[in-house]
Amino acid sequence: MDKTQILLDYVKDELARGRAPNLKATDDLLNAGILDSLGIFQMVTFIEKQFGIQVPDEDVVFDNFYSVEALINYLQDLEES
Amino acid sequence: VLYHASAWGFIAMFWWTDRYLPVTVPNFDQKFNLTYFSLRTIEQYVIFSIPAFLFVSGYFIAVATGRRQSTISWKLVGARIKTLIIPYIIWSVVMLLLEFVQGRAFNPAEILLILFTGRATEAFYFVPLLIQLYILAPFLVLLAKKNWKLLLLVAFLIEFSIRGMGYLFTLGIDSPGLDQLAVLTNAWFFPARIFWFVMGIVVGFHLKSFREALNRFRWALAAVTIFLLILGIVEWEFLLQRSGEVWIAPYETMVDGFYALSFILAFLAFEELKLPFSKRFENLGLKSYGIYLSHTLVIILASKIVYRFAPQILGYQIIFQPLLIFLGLGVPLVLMEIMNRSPARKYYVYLFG
Repeated sequence: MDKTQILLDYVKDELARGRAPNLKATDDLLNAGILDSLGIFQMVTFIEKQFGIQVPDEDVVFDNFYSVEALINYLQDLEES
Repeated sequence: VLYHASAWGFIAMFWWTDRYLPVTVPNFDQKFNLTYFSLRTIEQYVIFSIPAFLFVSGYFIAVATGRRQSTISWKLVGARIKTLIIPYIIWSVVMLLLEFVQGRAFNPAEILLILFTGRATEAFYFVPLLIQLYILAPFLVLLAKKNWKLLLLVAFLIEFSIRGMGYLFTLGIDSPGLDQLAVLTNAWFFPARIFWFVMGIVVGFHLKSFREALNRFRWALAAVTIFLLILGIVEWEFLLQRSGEVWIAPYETMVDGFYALSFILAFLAFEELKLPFSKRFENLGLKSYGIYLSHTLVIILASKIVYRFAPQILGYQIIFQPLLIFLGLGVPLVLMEIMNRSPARKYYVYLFG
């Protein structure tokens, strides 16, 4: 399974808890109320555990976390760097 | 949970003493014994928790603003308020129903006022407070981007002046216009706790610089934190003595504020340090809003059940406290887990946030 699908499944199941079954990778997670202060922390922990990627605290910002697509782009950049 | 368990510990020691000793109540014979100071230490130690919650909420605002946006959107503010307010109203109504069953009557205006000021139970003031701060957040972000030092200074002066006013009320010192300013000291009203939220926003925008600066003073911060913890305990006894009362309702003093500040800064400075059981604490942290909303009811019911059916336990805080903490944490966690695994899972957010 690719990272986008893994993250989408995680957001739908763990963060939205079934409230957003039709969530798309481009949907805004913050403005939709799916991702809150604790949710972002939960997401970072999941990424670190699932993909073995260390996310620096300074990078946990809206630009990288507002959607699954933004997150995937950020993780690709992080891996390449 | 620790704070409220210790509060019920004091009730058991002073107001329910007649349930396990042949005395009339209130009875303050146990004041200043080892148990009293143990409870005071716990109560004082956890006084950083509301400032820390507000700091995290402010930090989230900085995260949600990001690097390119000038401020956060009103849509995000609305989404956050919705997530906070629905569980808050549900649990407030549950608390009011509990009081109604016990014989207290409410009129609609009273209910609205209780909900507006978070008085369904002592701890609930935090939600109306946080909602006000979220409404202010788009403006605070603009100010933080323009001149964060000035914003932080003004927020500090507002909050700590209000904390300073608390001393005048406690010590019964009358001053012209003081009564008009009393509204500012209400914990549910944003000026009384604005500093922590603003600090969260500012630190969120400048995390790296703050960490680097704080890291150099981390041992000094740890020492100051311990000193302020002890000073807070001593200060409260001094205030209690000077007030001329046997007991006064607890409120957060300036020393408590400096302790909370020092604690949060020390936490940031020692961020790399891995504490034992940190993963478990992290997991608890993720459920903190649900625990916060539901634990009060559990602790009240547990205390009253003990009072009625096993009053001897009230005389042994070494049993009573772990019991309240275990139930205050355990019951909400079990309820949350049951709901999370049930078909009603999609409504979880409306009950536990």
